[in-house]
Amino acid sequence: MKYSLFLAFILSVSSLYAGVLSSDTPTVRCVYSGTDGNCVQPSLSASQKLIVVTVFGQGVAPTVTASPAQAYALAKRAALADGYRQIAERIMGVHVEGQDTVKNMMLQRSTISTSVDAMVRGANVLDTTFKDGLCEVELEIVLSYSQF
Amino acid sequence: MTPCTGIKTNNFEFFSRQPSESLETTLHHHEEEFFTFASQQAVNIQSHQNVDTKMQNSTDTLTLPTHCYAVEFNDENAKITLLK
Repeated sequence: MKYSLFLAFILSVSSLYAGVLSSDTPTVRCVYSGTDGNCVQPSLSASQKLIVVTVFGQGVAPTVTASPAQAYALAKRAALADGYRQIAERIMGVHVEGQDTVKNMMLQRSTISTSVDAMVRGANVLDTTFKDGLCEVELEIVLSYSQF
Repeated sequence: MTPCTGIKTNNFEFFSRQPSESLETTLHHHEEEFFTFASQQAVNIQSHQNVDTKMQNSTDTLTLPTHCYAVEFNDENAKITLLK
């Protein structure tokens, strides 16, 4: 009984140790863009030394449109704008300004403003889905180390 | 539109058109496809978001930079090629 318990302990310790040591494959971090919580996942291709940034832009169709086709087109345009914004924020960074107004030790007003202004070149639209008035566009941009 | 010189790249797109249709009309009919095609080359994004205790608003402005394209017509379609 004691021998089997000791053997089980040795096996569990060795498997834990192997688990720690076998983590040589790079873990992909999920970086959040901050303003809308969408995941921006940079992945690194070691052989080509390229950085691939993939984002999901979302756009909503206006409530009043001339046709379903127009609703789709407008929602897609909004989704593209959201996707380009996320790419710009990820690569160029975001300008953030905050202002709190306190009166008589009480918070009266709190404002947070974010802005980004950038030129995005070579982003590819991978996929477009449209469901229940929401359009989602998957955008990808490939950068070299020197560009990042 | 002003004429410009450049070398044709491999980036091109076909847009269907009527025989007597002008380029402007063809582009108007295929606005969404052309925007997707052109924005993949380059697009300027200006984004402003404001979050307040009472309201939230955001404005994203996409602007296509001036660029040269070669346009070839036939009776059925127009081929638009990016020039570099």
